[in-house]
Amino acid sequence: MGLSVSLANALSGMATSQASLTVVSRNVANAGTPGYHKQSLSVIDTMGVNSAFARTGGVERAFNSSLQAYYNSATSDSGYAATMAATLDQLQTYFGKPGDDGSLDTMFGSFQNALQALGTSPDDFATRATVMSKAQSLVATLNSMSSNIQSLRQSTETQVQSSVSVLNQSLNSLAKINYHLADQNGDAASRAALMDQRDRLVTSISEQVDVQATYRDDGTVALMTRTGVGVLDVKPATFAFEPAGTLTADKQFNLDPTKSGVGKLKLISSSGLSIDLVQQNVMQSGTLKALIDLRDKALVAAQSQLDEVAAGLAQSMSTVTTAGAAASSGTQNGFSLDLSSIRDGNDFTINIARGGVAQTVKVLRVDDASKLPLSYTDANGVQVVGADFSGGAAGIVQAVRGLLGGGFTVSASGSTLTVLDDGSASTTDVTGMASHATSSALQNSGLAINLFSDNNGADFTDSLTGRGQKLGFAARISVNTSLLADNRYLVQYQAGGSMGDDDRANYLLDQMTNMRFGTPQSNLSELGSFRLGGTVGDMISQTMDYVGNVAADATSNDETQQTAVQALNQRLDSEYGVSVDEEMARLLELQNAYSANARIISAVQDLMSKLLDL
Amino acid sequence: MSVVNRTMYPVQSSMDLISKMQKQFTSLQTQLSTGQKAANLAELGSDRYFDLSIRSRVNRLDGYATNIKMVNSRLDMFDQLTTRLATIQQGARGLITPNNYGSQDIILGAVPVQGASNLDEVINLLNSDINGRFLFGGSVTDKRPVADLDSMIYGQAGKAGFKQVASERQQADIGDGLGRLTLGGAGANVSVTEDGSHPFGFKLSTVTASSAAITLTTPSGTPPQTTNVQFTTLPIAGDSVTFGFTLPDGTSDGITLKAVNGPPDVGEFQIGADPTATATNLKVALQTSLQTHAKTTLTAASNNAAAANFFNGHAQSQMRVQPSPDFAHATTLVAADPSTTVAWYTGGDSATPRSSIQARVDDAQTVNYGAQANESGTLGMVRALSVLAIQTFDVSDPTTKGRFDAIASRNVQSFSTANNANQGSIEMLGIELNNAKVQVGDITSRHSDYNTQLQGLLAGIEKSSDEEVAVEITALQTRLQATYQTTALISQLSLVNYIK
Repeated sequence: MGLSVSLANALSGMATSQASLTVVSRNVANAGTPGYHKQSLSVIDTMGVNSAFARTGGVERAFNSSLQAYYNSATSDSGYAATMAATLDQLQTYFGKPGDDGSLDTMFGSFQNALQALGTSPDDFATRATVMSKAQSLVATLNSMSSNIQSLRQSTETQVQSSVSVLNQSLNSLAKINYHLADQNGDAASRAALMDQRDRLVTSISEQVDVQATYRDDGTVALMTRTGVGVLDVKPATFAFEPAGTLTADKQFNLDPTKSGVGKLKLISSSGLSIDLVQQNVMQSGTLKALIDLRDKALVAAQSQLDEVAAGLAQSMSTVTTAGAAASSGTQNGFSLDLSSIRDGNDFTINIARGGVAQTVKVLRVDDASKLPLSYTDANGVQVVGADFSGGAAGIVQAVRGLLGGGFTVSASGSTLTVLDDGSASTTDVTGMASHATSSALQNSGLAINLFSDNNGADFTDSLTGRGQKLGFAARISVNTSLLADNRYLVQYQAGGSMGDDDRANYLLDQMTNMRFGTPQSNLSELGSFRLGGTVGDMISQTMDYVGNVAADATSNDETQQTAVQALNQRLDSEYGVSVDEEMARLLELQNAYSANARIISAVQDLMSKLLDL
Repeated sequence: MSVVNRTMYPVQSSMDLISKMQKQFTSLQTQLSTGQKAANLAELGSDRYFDLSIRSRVNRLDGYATNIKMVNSRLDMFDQLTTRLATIQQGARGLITPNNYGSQDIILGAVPVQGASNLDEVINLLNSDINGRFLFGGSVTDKRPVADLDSMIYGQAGKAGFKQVASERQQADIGDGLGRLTLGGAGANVSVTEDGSHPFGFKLSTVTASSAAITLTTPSGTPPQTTNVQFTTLPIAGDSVTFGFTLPDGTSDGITLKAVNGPPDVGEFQIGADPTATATNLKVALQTSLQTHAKTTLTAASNNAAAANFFNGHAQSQMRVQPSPDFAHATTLVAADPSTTVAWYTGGDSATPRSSIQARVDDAQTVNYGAQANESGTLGMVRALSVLAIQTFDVSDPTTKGRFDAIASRNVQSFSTANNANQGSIEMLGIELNNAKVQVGDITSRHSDYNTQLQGLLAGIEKSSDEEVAVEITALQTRLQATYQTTALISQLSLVNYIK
């Protein structure tokens, strides 16, 4: 033991203090740097040959992999919720608040009131013109709401595209960082900085897609989706998006890629294997998933509800209801009905009672053979079957028999269908039959009128042919131009009839307040499974209620997610964050240690000079 | 804003809370200034559907209110019109009184003019419109229901008016002067025979005699009917024969001829030397009487029948005389050709005129307030006034006063208060339309109560209470201030500040 030992110890102490100061200064300098993980220096006391001195054990970076994993998943969910909430909030503003000037319910209400006024003053030109202008405003509202919904869908594709390019950049950077981290020769401080960058990138990726990160010992990270598809493992996979161009209501996602009308989101692995993320349902959360869900479900559902409303509106004005005539044979009683006026998409109903329980069944005319067989229960609980009417009444006898079951006699002659009960056994009854056909002319074909029409003035019959006439009808519905040219058709249901006749006006009003509709099948999506039923007014209320509900749910979900992320942030802050106070305290300690070490050196020097002066 | 920005630059949680509170502050401010709890559809929360259905209800009530306003203005107009019609009816009643010719027979001259001007006013009232909507046309509200006075009476553009139709009918009824009867009989017989099977002229109904000397053959058989008076012996003075006729308008007329010994006066016949001479005298007297009656009662009845045919009521068609071989010998009435005859009424023709116009003033309630000019009250007035309007009373003609009396006694009934109880009379019309007004009034007050209730419900859902918001703002302000202060304090507490 000697003075030189003390000198060596003091020197080692000064060296560690200096190294520690470097770390402290780095921590303080980065106190506000995003994603900076606080660092610390471990100091080890080392036994020398004849001394114990301090040496630095390397810089350590604060990191907790389980917290990180939790954080990544929370980021995905929050990204999903935030995107949903933002878009659905936009959607609900299109619908307006109930009672607002441009809101759907106000438009419908004014149209209804205009029809009421028409009943009171059918002879007044201004009143008729008001009906037409209110009808136009209502139609314009439906049109603009559909186009707003479609432009929202369109913007989801644009967002997917930009999100995909950000993702690819992040993945490439992350791959490079992985490469650098794999090289263990780097300086400890720069490795820490790389890891900070790594974590930032992982978070940014998990915001877009729900990925699980596997942190390896060498500091590198591998990413795979929660469903287990590899996104990054040494080499990055590439996200690719092919947009579909302008989206319209009839361009929808389909599991069959040849029928799908929307953009395709793919993941191309480093080996060149391509996988359709939407079709394979790979994503579970994240912004991308939210955008896809909006495009294919939520916004499609909103559109289809508007389509229901538009279809209801057109049909309530144009449907000619013809009741069947009583028929009997021996003790069997029932009804017969002429089916010749029923057009593609129109239907007729049979009211029966079996064992005293009343029931309504509906037979739909379906011209598109590919849609048959068709059988479902609509939103009002009515059993519906589709039938091919091309063979006249005889052609559908079989379908009706199948629908009604035993206890009924179904027969046909020409275009007339007759349904009779079981007569004296009296376990069944036929209580009525009625056809609901779309009016085919403005005059001389009953009180109904095609006030609203499809593209190019075509009648709306709700035909199922092709994709079905209802799909996107809200975007196409327009006011019949013949009526705009001559609004006397609103009153004169017979050529040359009196202009003071309120029959047609009252009929239209009655239809609007009494005719009930039911969404047929919910084969669209989970979010669209809310089926509308009731009068046109009911359906409008239901649609608005639904949109409001969905938006409110999304917003509250977003808030929940944000709260969760915030709680996590506090955890992150306490684990990784730089506490300036703590660093200052350390600074004081280091200062003192340094001075003490310096003091020792100076003391040793004193002693040495004393010794040398002897 | 990406999630990274939001989460990886951890803002102090206290700062985050402050910004949240500030957002809350803004929303409360908005609530205070707009008075609305929710700014959009989503914020309405669980009351959304309720809100929508109340709004649709309120909206419908607004629609009904507009309708009610419109209906009320029409009912007010009706009220004025029916009142005026009743006044005209009353005036016309005083105008024509049988046997009242006025001093210097002034009334005889005044009646046709007065009749025409009253008719003109009635026509104008019936053609009244409110905003281009004609009130007396039933369901046909877009055109004048009644032709104007000139066309109605004098015809228009080649179409015959009432005056012509009535004159044709008059020719058909009077025939060759005896009201389509022919007198005959040989020896002691006087026979009276209708000149054919047709609706015109006198129709034989009865024949009576107060004499044992006379054998009567009462009118019988399928038309043309005939009757016969046979003198078996000579009647004694004071004996009489009465011929009863049915006139074209359904009224009856009778000619009584009394046997006298001296030269006969009007309504008398001289007893001749034997039954044959007496029969001849009776025939002459009968002929004179028939000629007079044809110009008075028959003419009056003919005019009224023509009015009934021309001014057709509900479910009737306009009828005119078929001129074959000519009007004086016509035998049939035919439906008028609209291209040659003015149609007096072109409105709707419903069996229940009131329900021809219905206003929807409630979900399940309608108000019926239609009226047709061809209802019994106005129809009767138009007929009677038209008959008066086409008359000319020439005081130099000895039959004029008789005709005036016949016309007056017939037509004064059309203005009589005895008709008030009839369905469709002007008074009934007034009462029924007033009922409609009362009904509308009841509905209006019910709607206004209902509307108040609904508005209350809506306010409960949509309106924010100012007090509540103010209290919340105060509480929030206190919290925000406290947070600011502590945050500021804590930010001062850093070791950095104390290292020298």
